[in-house]
Amino acid sequence: MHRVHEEVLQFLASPYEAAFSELAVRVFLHQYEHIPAIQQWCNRRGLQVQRLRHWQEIPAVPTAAFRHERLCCAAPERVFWSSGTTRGREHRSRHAMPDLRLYRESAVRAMRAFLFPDVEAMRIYSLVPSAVEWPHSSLAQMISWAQEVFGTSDSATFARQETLDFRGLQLALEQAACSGEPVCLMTTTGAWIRFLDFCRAERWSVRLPHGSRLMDTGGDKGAPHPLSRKGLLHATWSTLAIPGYFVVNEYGMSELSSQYFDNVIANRVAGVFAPRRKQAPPWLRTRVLDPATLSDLPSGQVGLLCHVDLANAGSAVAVLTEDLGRLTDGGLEVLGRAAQAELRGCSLALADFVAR
Amino acid sequence: MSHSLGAFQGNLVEDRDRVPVVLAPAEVGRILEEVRAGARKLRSIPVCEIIHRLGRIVDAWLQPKSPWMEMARAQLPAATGFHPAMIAHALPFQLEALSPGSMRWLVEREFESLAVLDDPEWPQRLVVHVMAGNIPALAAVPMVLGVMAKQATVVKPAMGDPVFPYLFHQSLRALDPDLAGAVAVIGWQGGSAAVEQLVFAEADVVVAMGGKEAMSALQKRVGRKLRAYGPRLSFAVVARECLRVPSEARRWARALAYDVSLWDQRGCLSPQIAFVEQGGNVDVMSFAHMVARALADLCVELPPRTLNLEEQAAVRAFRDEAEWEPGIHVVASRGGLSWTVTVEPRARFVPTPQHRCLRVQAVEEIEDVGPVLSPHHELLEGAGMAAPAQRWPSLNRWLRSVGVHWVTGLGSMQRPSLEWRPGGRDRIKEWL
Repeated sequence: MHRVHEEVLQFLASPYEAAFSELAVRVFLHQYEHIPAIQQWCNRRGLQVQRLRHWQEIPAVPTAAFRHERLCCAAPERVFWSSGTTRGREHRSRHAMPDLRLYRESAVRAMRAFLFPDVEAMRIYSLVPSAVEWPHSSLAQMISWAQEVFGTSDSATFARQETLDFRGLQLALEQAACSGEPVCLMTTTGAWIRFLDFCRAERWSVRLPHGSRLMDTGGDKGAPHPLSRKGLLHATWSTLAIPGYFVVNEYGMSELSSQYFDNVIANRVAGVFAPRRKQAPPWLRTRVLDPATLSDLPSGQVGLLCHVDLANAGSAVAVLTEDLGRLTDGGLEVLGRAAQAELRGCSLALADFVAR
Repeated sequence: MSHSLGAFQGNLVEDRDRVPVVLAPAEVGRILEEVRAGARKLRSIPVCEIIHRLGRIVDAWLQPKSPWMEMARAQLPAATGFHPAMIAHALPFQLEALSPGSMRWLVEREFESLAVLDDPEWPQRLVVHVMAGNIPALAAVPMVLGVMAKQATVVKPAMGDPVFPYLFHQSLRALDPDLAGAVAVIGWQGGSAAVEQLVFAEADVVVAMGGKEAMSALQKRVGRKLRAYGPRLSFAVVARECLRVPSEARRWARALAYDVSLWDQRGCLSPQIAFVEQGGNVDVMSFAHMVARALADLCVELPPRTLNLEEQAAVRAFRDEAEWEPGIHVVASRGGLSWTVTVEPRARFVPTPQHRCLRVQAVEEIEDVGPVLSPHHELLEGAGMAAPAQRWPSLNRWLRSVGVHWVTGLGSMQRPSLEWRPGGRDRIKEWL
């Protein structure tokens, strides 16, 4: 395997912030050398890659590139697909990973920091099908690793293909409540909203032991109705007695190997009183760009998010998303998908068409 | 009667964020009653005379130094976001279509004779028009045609154009109060329950233009009275005969760029795709570059509106997608997002995000595009043609057969006459 992958793995194990920029540039040069599509793209734009010095100068590959090209510096070990909810299944992103260790290390280390800083292991219940059933879902893989590394032997998955076993989950949660052992729930936000609806319709609730926690991800897609973060926290508290400071929202995308997490559990364990923020592990940094010029915007302004993720060493280290957001004192705020710009009038626009 | 202006506090809006004051339902009820009464009064006026009098009002707008046009030019840039040069240039187009001759022609096409409208049994309805905000000044058409057809007309201005309907109604009242009595402009915030329920309940017909979601939401609230005009797409076709010499090709490129640039491509008659025949002396790639050059020139003459962040991001995503798609070439404004042309090797039906983004697609024969378009025939609206005279009849027939409702020469797509049947439907019969 490439030497630069080993260097990134080393950085993940002992992040030294000052080394980030230099390593990111080296990772990019490695990709330039080994991924023809990236090389052609840079040459077409007349970029002098040897002149790059700073991580913020790395040209960001748009997520669209993952829909059309295989960006992979070697034979892929696994290929993850995006869910295809935004653009339809035939326009899914494909993220081919030549070295799965990078994703695993990144995910496991970030989960330890943001989800399990206070425990070695706990029961983990998942509402996402297992990685065996969904080998192309990066989320399924991440949760499977969580169960493997942080889960006790009675961890379980309550989802198969398209069906969610809410009844089974309720029974398991009731048992957990009796046992007094905390549990961790991992789910998509959409499935969680459906579960909360299901419980409310049945007037079912349970008091989970203190230390129980929830990780949800993916925004409203697949949800029967939108639910504000406040609403979700409230319903999670009243249904399961999981307090807000144990509910962690994850922001990730199949084109990345690292994720942002709410810092609430990490703060609580560290004894820090600070507002809820989305934070990333030290090997993922984000720029906020002006969509017109792709230059960096001042802190606090809303723009296109561009992530530089060292764990993407095998594919594209800098990824330009279609998400709008901003960086505020120590955290990321994601405001949503830009292509869903509000449409006015009678003229058909691309966003309207692809949403059909 | 000052109810339509009364919907605003103070003068006509100059501040685009100011929202019309929501009228009390009782007041709205009174306005609707007055409009019905105003329409009943039109029964005693022969339609020929109404058309003549409406022609005078339209003339008052179109004459040089018209105070009405001056007011619109002063207020619409701030209210709609379009550049003053664009407003000044394109605002007259909707009004120019409303000549007495074409109004008479329209009635004769739909009802065979003008006299039908003077029949004592002629039905009168309360027609509510929910305007779309993509292009300003559209409201003149339903107001003028509504009066001509002796219907009671209520216009709900769009958030994107909160000024023009009031201004046009003001001109009607000033110039011909009798005709103005059959028209009211009532603003309310979409979904604002009390007023909307009342207006929709009283309406006989609700005509609405807008996106798919807006239309299905309205469908739930309005039901069978709704005449919905959903989102539509227009395109251009360029025959190889028009690409014989560079000078001719440049002329057509300019015409295409002009149709794209007008109203920043936000109209449903704005071309988003150009199907260009291969085999001319000027190849498709060179033609696309000519279009790009013309788009750049037009950004100086008719500067684009400032895009909001979402719109900018949509254009950026469009460019990124095209840049990474195999076989597609992107020509785009540097240092900004003012215009984008993609050159594509084959025909396919995919819209652009608007904002002066055009797909130029190479085709063997224009007519080969049929199978690409026909699955989407319900989304097609207009087509602009660049073709030699001898190919017009067959191309026109072919375009109509794939579902296009408005065919015109390239360069005049944004000046629809009353011959255009929006959505392929009659204009007045739809209300009855």
